[in-house]
Amino acid sequence: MDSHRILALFIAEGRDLLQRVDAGLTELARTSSDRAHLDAVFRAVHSLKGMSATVGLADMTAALHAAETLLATARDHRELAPAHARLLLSAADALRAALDAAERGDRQPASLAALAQELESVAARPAAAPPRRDAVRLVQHATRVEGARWRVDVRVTADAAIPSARATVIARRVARLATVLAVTPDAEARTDDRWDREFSLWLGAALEGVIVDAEVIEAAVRGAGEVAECQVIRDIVAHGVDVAPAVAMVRIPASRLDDLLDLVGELVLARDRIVQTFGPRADDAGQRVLDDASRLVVQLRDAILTSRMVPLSEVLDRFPRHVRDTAAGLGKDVDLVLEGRELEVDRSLLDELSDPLLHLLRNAVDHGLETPGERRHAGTSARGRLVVRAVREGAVIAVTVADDGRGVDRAQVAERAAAQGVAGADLLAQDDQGLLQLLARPGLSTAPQVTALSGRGVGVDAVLSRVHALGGRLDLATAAGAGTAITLRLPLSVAVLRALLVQVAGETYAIPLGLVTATQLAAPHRTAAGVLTADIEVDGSPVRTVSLRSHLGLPPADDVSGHLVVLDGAGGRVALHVDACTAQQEIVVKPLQKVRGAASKFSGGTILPDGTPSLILDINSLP
Amino acid sequence: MSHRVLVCDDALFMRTLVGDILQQAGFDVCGQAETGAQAVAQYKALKPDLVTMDIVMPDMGGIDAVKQITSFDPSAKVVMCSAMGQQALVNEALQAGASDFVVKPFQPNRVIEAVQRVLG
Repeated sequence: MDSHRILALFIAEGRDLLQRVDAGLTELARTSSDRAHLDAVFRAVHSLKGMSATVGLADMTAALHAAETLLATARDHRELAPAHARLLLSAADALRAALDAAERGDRQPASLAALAQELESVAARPAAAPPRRDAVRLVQHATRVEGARWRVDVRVTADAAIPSARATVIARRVARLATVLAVTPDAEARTDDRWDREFSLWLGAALEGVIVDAEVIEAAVRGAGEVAECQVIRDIVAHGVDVAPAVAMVRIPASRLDDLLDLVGELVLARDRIVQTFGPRADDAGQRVLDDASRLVVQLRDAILTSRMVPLSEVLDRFPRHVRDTAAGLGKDVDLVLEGRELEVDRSLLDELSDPLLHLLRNAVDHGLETPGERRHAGTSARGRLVVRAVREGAVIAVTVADDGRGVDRAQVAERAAAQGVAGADLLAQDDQGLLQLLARPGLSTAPQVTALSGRGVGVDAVLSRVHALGGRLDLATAAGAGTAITLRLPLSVAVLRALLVQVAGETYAIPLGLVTATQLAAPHRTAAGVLTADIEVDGSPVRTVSLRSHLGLPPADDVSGHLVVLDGAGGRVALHVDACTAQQEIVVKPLQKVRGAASKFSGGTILPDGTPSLILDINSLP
Repeated sequence: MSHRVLVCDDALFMRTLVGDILQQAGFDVCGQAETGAQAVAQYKALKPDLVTMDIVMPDMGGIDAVKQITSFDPSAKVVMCSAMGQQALVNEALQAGASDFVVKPFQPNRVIEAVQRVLG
C-alpha cells in the first residue's frame, strides 16, 4: 500500500469533509433544527473520524469522536444548541489546522487534546440507566433449555472489537446446521459492559439434510472468527446432566390467569358479534378470514384454559388423611382408593371440588360404611372400601364417591320425609334420583345420631346447591347390601358455561345446559277441574310447572303457549315455563355482586353476542 | 478466478484504503459505491461475490442497503465496515442480513480475515 498516496487522499478528502461541516453548521445557525443539515454534518464528522483513526491520528480521532457524540445527542433532540454549533465551528478550524500540520509532516497541535476534552465535557450525556446486573447474572446462569440436544459454550477473544456482534455472527453460522433454541445470555445482556464474553448456544434438531456432530459444530463456531474457546456438549437431554428434560416453570399470580381468561371470554363474545354482523355480508374470501379468526380465538381460549389446568391430585391427596381420621373417630376400618389423580381441571374448579367431595366422603364413612362388627355380621369383609374415581366425560369431569356398605335405607328416608310433610315420599324413594331429592332436603338426616362430622342434614343439600351453582349435576345409585355411589359432574371450566338461552317478557336469561333434561312446546290444557294448566308428564311422572314470569315477579302472559324447560333442581324436577327457547350458547360467567332479594334468583351474569347483558338463573331458587 | 468485491463507503479515502487492501490480497475490486442507493444498484448490475459496506452513508445508509441487497439476493455476502462505538448499529446490520463486520481503524489482516471467513 502506498502510504504517501493514502495520506494525501486523507488530507484532501479531510479538508473537503470539514468544508461540509462548516457549510452544514452555518445553515444550522439559521435553522437550528434542520434534520438534513444535521445529518450531513454528522456523516462528515463520522467519516473523518474513521479516516483519522486509520492513519493513526489519535488526538484528532478523539476530538472527532466527541464531536460525533455531541451531534448524535443533537439528532436525538432534533436540535443543535447555538452554543454547541459555535463550539463545533471552532473545532472545525482546529481540525483544519491539524490537517495542515499533517500535510507538512509536523506534530499534531497540542490544542487538539484540549479541544477533545472540551467537546467531551459538553457532549457528556445524562447518566445511562443503572446497569441491570441481576438480569445479566440470571440469564448467564440458565442451565436448561427445553428440548435442547446440544449445548455449545463459546468464549469470544479478548481483543474482539464488538464481542456482542461476534456472538451474533457465531450464532448465525451455527443456525445453518441446527435450530438455535436459545443463546444465553441473551442479546441485550451481551451488550452489557460487564459481560464476560462467554455465552452458550442451545441447539435443537439438525436442519434437514445436515448431519451434525461435535466437530462440525465446532468448525462452524471457529469459522465465524474471534473465538477463543469452544466446547460442544452433546445429547444433553439424554445425559440429563446439565439439562434435565424438566418443563420450565413460571410462577404467575392466579389473578393474572383470571384476568386473561376474562379477556379471552370477552374476545369470544366479540368474535360472535363480528360473525353475526359481518358473516351474512361476507363474500368467500371474507368468510375464510372470519373462519380463520374464529378458529384462532377458540384456540387461544383453549390454550388459556389449558394454562389454568392443575392435576386433581392437589385435592384428592388431602383425602386419605381426612378419611383415616374420620374412620378412626367412628371406630371403622376403611381402605381409600383414589383413581384419576392425574386428571387436570381448571384451578377455579379445584377449590370448588374440595368441599363437596369432603362432605360426600364423610357421609360415606359415617352412614355408608358399617363398623367391622356389623360388616362381619352381614358377611362382608371387615374393612370397608371407599373409592374416589375421577374420569373425564368430554367437557365434563365426573367424580364418583362409592362405598361398599349397606346402601341407603329407602324406607327410612321415605318415613322421615313423610314426617316432614313431603307428598309422595314413598314413591320418590323407590327411584334413585327421587331418593337423592329427598336426601337433599334441608334437615333430613338418616343418621341414627348426630355426630360431629355429619348427620345434621347439611351434607347432601349443601353439596347439591354448590354443584348446581357451578352448572353441574349430582347422581345417586344405591342398592341394599351392595353400596352407594354418588357422582358429581361439573364442567371442566366453570368460567365458560354452555347455556340454554330463554326469553321471558322480552328479556333473555341463561340456564346452565347441564341441568336441562328436556325442552318441549308448552301444550296448555284444562284439568278435569277446568283450570287452565301447562303441567306435563315426563317419563310417566307428573312434573310441576313453574312460570318463570311469576318467579321473577313479572305480570303473567296473555296465553300459556311458549316452551317448557325440564330441569333437575334442588327441589326436584321442575318444568320451567318460558316464552321461548332462543339458543344454546357458550357464555362467560361473570360473578354478580351479592344483592339481597331479586339478585338471589341469579347465580351470575353474562354478555350475549349481540352485546346485551343477561342473567344466569339460579335453579336452586326455583320453588 | 479471484473473487469480485464491491466496496461501498462515502469517503474516497476509505474506498481507496479497503480497495488497496483487497487488491493486494488478490481480490478483484469490481466496483465502488458512495451511497447506499448506489450500492444496491451496483450490486444488481455487477453481482459481486462480496460487498464491503460502510454503515453511515448519505442517500440510504448501509443497513437499509443490506436489507435491499439481501432481499434481492438472499445469499448475498456483506461485510459491514463500522467505526468504534457503533455496536448497536453493527448488531442491527447483522439482523438485517449482513454476514460479518470489521471495525475501523482497519488493520489489513483483519479485513482480509473477515472477507475470507465469509467467502470460505
